[in-house]
Amino acid sequence: MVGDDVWPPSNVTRSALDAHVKAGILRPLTDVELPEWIVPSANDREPNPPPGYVVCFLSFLDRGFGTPAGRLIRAILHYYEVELHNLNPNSVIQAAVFATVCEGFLGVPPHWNLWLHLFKADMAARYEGGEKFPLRVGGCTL
Amino acid sequence: MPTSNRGWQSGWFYLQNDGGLLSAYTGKMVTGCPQKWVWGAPSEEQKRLAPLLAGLEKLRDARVTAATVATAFHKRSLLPLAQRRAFMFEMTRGVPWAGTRMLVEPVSASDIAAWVAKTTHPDLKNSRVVPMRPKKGYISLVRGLVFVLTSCTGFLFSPVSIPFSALQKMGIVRYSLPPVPEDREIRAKNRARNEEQKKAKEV
Repeated sequence: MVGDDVWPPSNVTRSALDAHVKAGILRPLTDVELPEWIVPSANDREPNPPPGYVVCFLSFLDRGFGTPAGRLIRAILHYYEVELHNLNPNSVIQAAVFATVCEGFLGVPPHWNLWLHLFKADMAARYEGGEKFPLRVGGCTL
Repeated sequence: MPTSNRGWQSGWFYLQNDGGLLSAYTGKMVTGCPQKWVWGAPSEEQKRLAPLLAGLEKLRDARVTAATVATAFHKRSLLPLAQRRAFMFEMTRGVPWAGTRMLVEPVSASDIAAWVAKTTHPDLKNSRVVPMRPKKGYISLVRGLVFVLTSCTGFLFSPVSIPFSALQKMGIVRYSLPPVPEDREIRAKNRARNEEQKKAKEV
């Protein structure tokens, strides 16, 4: 269908995730039954996470996202009524920088009203032939 | 921020949603921009933000940028968006690293530069290091805040004698915790408990 956005296949490998574990930004695998993370299978044309799992991106880990998720990122998803895959890397680094400015420079816990004052959300879309098409991934830009 | 994050959408994998803290995956697509996305802070809260905005202005004057902030959190080996045992401003020597920092050993300058180049802008990879609270040499915001206090309330403080934390305790900067779903439940429980206590007093 013209304008229909599709998920690109995942190019994430076990070694890429292991490198993030080594760098301390992803938890190591400790549970065989309920692994902390799963490399998508080659058959997964689009995400089909098992119950209890979400879809995350390597680029989010490099930008300050981690689990268990902190209050600010949870509030962002809750307030804007979006899921993790609706954010994009720039939005994630914006949130991480904001949390750091609050805690490390202003000396207060992440301040929600200051967040609302400084940031607005917008719908990211793909434009084709003058028409606007929603994105399957990264549709909410902060 | 980088002008292009080309190909990031292919970097997906499945991550355990600990305790269901994150919104469950349904494959949702954003198809519109609800009004509340652009509302901003409630108008009655705007004036309470003045001390924080003055603090931000001072940081801007001190040339604190997204890259310097990213350098600071990578240097301390932190994931700002993950749960941590301690806030960054509480990270004194006595605070155990587990549950707060991601690594025990210091992160190398070259690793920090590579991360910052990838996540902010390649030209900013060697951004200067600005110490964060409570490390010695952090940027003091007291003078800017005192200016705000003086102009708003008429109080006069000596800029060097009042630390920022003291201003918070005085109620000048009110906390505004990011709202999460369980807050509603906690508030309902608190309300019920208060009503019970009130009834008990009346009896």
